[in-house]
Amino acid sequence: MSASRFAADLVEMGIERLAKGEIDRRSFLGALAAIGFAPAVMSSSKAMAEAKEIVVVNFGGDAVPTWGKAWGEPFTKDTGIKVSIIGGEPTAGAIKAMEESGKIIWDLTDGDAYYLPILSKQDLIQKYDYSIVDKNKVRPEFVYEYGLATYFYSTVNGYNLDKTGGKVPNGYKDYLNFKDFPGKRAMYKWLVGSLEAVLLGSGVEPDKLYPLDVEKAFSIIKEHKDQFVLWGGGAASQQLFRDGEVVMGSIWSTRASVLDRESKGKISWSWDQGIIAPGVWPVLKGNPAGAEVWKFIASTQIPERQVELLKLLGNGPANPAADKLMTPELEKINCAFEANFKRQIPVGTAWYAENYDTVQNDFLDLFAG
Amino acid sequence: MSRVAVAAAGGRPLAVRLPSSPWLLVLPFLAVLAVFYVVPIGQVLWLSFSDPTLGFGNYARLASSESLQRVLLTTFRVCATTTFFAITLGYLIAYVMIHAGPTHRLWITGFVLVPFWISLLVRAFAWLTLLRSEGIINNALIGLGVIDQPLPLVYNEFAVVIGMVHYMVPYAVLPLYANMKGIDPRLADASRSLGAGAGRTFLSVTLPLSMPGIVAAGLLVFILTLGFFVTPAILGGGKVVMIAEYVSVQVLKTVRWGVGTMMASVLLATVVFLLIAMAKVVDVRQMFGAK
Repeated sequence: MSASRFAADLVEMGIERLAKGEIDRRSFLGALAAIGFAPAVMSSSKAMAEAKEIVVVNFGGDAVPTWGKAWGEPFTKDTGIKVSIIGGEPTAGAIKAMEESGKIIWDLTDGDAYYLPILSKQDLIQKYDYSIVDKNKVRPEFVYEYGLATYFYSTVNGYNLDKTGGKVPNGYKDYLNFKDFPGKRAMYKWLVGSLEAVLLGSGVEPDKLYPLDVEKAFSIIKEHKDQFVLWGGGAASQQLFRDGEVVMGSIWSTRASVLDRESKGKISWSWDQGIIAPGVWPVLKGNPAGAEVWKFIASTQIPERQVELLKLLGNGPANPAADKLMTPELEKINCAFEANFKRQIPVGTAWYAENYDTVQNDFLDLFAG
Repeated sequence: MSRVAVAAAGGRPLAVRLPSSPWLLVLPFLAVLAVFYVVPIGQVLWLSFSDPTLGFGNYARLASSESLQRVLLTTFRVCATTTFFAITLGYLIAYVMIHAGPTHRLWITGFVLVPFWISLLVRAFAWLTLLRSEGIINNALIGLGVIDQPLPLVYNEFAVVIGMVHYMVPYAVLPLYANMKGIDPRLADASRSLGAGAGRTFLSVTLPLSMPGIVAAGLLVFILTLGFFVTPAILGGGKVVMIAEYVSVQVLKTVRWGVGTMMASVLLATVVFLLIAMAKVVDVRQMFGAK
């Protein structure tokens, strides 16, 4: 009994120090764990809500230091609130696991827009506070109840001129043109852009692309199965092109621009029919930083900060006002730049929200079978 | 120990006997196991019956879904093939080790153990470098004029089996070596002196006597391969989906925890079943050196 009171007292002291900003939340949580106290009890307390730290989780790699530099540091300078960017695997499953454990230490995570309906249906994330986050700073088709575009990325058709004999494929229109472009095609294992590439390659018009004709796409893939090489992450896709394993195929424009620079244009990409998708930030229910998180999200909408990220990482700014700050080099790699944007196709978020789980499993099965 | 202490404190031996002392010694360990092992596994089992709705729905899916059956079939096929080759190679290596001189044996042991300590991920990527279409093997064969089109060595089951066999050979060698060391060499000598040739001696004396080692190593390798994740994911290139990867997709990507935990439970049940079935045939405790 007295032991647990002592622990409770330690927690109380910890909360006070946390509220004063003498310690950060991660050290606090670590200390709690060390004295065997369940942090779940604390996550809803007032002191936690006033905590001066926002924890953002993305998929790791260069996005950790660059998000800190472009978005975290200026926000901390403005408000004194610390921003911790953590690299991890914030998949829908990981978010669900964190909520179910009751030990919520993330405030918001990186994600695809189709996560939002999947997560909100299970009551795991919060509606956005649009009195603080500004809807008008984003193209209207990328504003949702539980989030909005924070940045853009695009799944484009990349190609290796050494392997195509110098010919440039016409976006995804030539994806299935094995006569003029013999050789293997890169394909994303986690679906986004994969069925689109095949359907566009078979002649489907961009405005008729969604809802995706899964049956047709699957039968085409089955027919040419040996021609497709799957990749699961950005680094792997880069490697496939670098190794000459594929002639063309889907790759994120951020990775394609790196290859283009490194190969002096031999490996490049086309914006035509790229599948442009918003990166969104689901905010976890019961997030420790509370309402402060909206101010942080609003601060990432400042065009200068979005352009900073474009410079560092190649992500497309979500705020069209950033177009005024472009240099020719930045225009070239910016998927959201109006001239490039027009050549691409916005991803069918509603379709993915509805169909992702079944079709992803069938897709896995299609290749495994 | 405890009985002595109790007796000393009471002045005379107690009539009631406490559980025998060895049990008391393992009690804390059993408690830890219960908390950190049994409870979480129980939760996984429970999820497989309760998510998204209570009942046998997830297990019924196993009977009706061709794709789930295919994942299981692929897993068992790949694991059985891997086990066969790992045991065959492991047997040869262990056999040579038994008959080699001390220095020679030390070298072989080194070559078996060093790869054993190298990360699974590193090895998978190393195989990728060797096997891909512009990799070392294909380039060499094309350079020599043996082939004019690169062979499909990677992103298929062939590559997965190679990667897994490579990883599992040490797990096969060590129990096989331990077993063979326990076989009295004089038995083979006796066989030879009775007129049997080398082949006959191997087939009627050495091989039957090393059977428990083969079964033990085979079981160990098969059970370990069932849970492989990284190697099939990298070398299979999405075309060889085994249970572990399938479970991970259900848990992380498509958020179908019920199906994921069901598949994990099937895997667990398979391992338990294999151990029980094996216990009927051979003495499992002796196999793993517990007796």
